[in-house]
Amino acid sequence: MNNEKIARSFMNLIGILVALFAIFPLVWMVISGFKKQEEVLAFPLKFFPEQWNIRNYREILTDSTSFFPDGASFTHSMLVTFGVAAFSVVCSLLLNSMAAYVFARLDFPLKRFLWVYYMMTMFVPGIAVYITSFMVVDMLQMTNTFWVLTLPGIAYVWSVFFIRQFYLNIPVALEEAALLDGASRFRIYASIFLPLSIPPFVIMGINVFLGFWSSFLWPVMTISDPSLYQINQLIMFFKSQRNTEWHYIMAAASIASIPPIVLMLIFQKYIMQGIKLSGIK
Amino acid sequence: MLLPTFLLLSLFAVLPLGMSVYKSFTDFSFYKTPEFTGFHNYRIVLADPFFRKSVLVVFKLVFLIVPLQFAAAFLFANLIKGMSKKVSAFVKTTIYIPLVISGIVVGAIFSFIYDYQGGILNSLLQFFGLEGQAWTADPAFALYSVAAPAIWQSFGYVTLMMLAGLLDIPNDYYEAAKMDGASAFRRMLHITIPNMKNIFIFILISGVTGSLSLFEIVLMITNGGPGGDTLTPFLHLFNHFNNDPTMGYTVAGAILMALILGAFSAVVFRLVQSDKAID
Repeated sequence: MNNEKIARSFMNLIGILVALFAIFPLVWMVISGFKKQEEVLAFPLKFFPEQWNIRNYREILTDSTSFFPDGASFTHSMLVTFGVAAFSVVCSLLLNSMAAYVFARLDFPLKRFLWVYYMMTMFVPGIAVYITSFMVVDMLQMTNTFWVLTLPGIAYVWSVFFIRQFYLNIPVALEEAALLDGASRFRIYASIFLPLSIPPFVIMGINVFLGFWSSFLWPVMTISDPSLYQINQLIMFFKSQRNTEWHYIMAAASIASIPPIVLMLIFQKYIMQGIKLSGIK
Repeated sequence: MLLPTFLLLSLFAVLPLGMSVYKSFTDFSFYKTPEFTGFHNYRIVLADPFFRKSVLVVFKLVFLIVPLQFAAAFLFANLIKGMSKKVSAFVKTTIYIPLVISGIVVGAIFSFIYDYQGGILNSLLQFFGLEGQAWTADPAFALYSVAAPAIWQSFGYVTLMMLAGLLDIPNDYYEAAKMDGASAFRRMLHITIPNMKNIFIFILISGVTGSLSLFEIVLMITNGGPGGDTLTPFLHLFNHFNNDPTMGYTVAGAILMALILGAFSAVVFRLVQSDKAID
């Protein structure tokens, strides 16, 4: 018994050490954002700033020393990125769940073919289509618009697959009464399935949001208008401009990391569920 | 109800895929009408020493990242199983956080850590009386300097996947084996590993394809240097896209990479499958 206790506290200790080590780069980023330039480059190393000064953070947020190209600002870019991600999450959940409902419940000619058509896109690596997708949006004159950032990422077959899996487990009895009353399929989807969809919606919603929040390659290819810069684009630009001003770069990186981390902390229960579900298919 | 997703998929996934395959056989650029050139683009890509080197580089990265991360995550997941509830909850949340950070931010943080003058890595070395290194510019270290953040970023995610698999194995199995006098090692070999098969496949595939697609981290930390030692195929193609008006090369390269990605997933899948068959 005693041995077990010792073993347990030993494992606890190692666990905490590993966790602290794993989180250290992020802690270091935040701490460095509070430092002055001399402190960031100081030798010997000063771990903590002499004064916890929010000056760097404030300067980034207010753009007081014009860090960014004309038409762009950090706050603006955060808002645009957030708007793009939020809009895409909502559309993505609604449209993909409709498709999921169709594949889960309806029978129609070509269903098999369409299912394969959808699934196929899941196995095509993005790299194979980036350049020609760019040509498509270029032909449609969509570059440098809100739509080029949102529309191509909305239809998401992994999401269709995942939500369909969930719908298959909803008893058919639930909708039979509604069908007898002559309710349309869309009404059944909207009034019975949508309200039950919260768990898969949260898991997939976070997934999609994080995808949009870290997107970089697609925005770089399609957006040259600074007022539409996505946050990672801006950070990349910023780093190339301010090569050694790490105190600013780390402050900017810290602010840009707040939304995904907060989201993750709020919904961590669902995320853990999602991990389970995606592994044990 | 299917129409919106069908249209979006067709326009932004199927159509571009068809175009990619078609364009890879032509000498198209954004400025002129394309002509059919057969496998010409593919031959150029495959003969290009930069492309070849980039493929070699990325495979080195795969072999650095995937096994290390796999082993570390497996060990740590087993450790988490033995921790008390409170501690394991804290640990699970903490190690997951790096995954939600964007590759660009990860790249920025590690560039700073590696910085020759102000980076904490060199500060630590000098504290112990050792000499600082140019981590990202020295060919001896550059590859490791991009592998480390990649391992770090998804370590927590892989660990939690492993843990989910471990917790899914009924405890009775272990109890029964213990009664029969099986050692901890034998229990791991005959209970844990076979039962984790699906998770292992999933982790290996996503690890390999993820490492093959490394891009943002490399762009931020080394930008492919020194001398192309860390230039991954994605970064190489990205540079081509930006600088080369003849797009045939870029598209053919992209298709080749897509094939490698697909083939590798298939091979990993097969390997693990056949291992199981022997049991």
